[in-house]
Amino acid sequence: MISKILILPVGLTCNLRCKYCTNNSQRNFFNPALKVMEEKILYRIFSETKPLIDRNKKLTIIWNGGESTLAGLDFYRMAVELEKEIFKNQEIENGIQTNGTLIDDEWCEFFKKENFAPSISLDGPSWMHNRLRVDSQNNGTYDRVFKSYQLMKSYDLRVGILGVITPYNVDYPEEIMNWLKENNINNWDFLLSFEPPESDAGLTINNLKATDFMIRLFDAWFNEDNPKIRIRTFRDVIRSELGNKPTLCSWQRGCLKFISFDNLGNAFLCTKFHIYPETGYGNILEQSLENILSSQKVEIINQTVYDGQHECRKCQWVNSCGGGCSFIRYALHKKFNAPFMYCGARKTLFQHIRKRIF
Amino acid sequence: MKTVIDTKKDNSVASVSRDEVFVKSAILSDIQKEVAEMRLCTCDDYEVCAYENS
Repeated sequence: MISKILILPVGLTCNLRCKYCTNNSQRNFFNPALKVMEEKILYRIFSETKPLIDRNKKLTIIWNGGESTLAGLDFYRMAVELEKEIFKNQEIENGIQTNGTLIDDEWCEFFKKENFAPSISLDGPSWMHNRLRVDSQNNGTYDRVFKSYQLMKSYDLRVGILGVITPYNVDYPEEIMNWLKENNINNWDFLLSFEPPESDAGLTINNLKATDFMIRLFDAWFNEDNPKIRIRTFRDVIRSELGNKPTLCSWQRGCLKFISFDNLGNAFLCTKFHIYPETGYGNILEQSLENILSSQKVEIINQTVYDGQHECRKCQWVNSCGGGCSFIRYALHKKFNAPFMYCGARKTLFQHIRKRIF
Repeated sequence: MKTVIDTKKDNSVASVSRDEVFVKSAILSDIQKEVAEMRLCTCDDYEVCAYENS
């Protein structure tokens, strides 16, 4: 069963030039001519994924990129109509990841009307964010993005913020916590920056730095003891320590439940893999999704992803960790079954959180 | 009802009751409430989008 459909309606095309973007890792994916997904491709995606979805559960469709809003509002209006037509009676929720630079009142009204849950990219206060998240003129984007965040909040949208931790902000977890407090940001999460070997910008966070950052941020957050400030990763770890299971894909062996499509109809394991065409499953215009998913290539990828966590299954933390992100394994080693680079950091975080909460 | 959580696996702390854990902090109480509501839920979130799951 597929639990989430991930869609890149403009592929990897983006209007920003963030310096850590793996989409730009010597692959020159930044400037293809903008090509918005055609309705016939979206129709095919929805109609062919429909039989693979649990009709009794909420279906989440996540719009990602590249920059998802480059597709324009008319595309999303069309997409919502298609959702209603094809998935009739199914409970659907739309999430959208955006850099926020193009958001205006019209977008917010649409999000509100159609119950979209947006997530915006902000790496911390302006001096952290502007260092790497720049536009094509190399100008920092903080002011524009934060204004969009405030606009979305004014529409009472359920908006989250996703930040990337890089060598430029990894030493400042307390400052990030203060920024969350001062700006009433109540739903934040982070990803650790890493670079594939073909890139050499010095933007990888090593295990030691990752550990230090996560523990200091956890302590700052936990000591504040304000449940209105939610840091998704930490809440997830606590949930699993209390006997539930984590929700995040890379902490629960979750990637095999998703499928991702780009603007041309190419299917992948998740949105991150689109920069590695050799990992593609196939194209939905050329063959049925059923054929794609039953192909030997998909079987091998799925089995290797699963096998990659063989060592992890012996680990005492496996129920909280899930073995880590398959994309990071692949990007660093070009194998799905390579060791997860943040294994040590996660173990130390689990031990620390267990000591803090019990 | 008190549920005993065994936290001795890494010799960090002795067993404590779940109730004692939750009164320690507002964050833990909030997550406890969420866990109770989600007990039968099989949610999964995609980490490259921080949308707030309803």
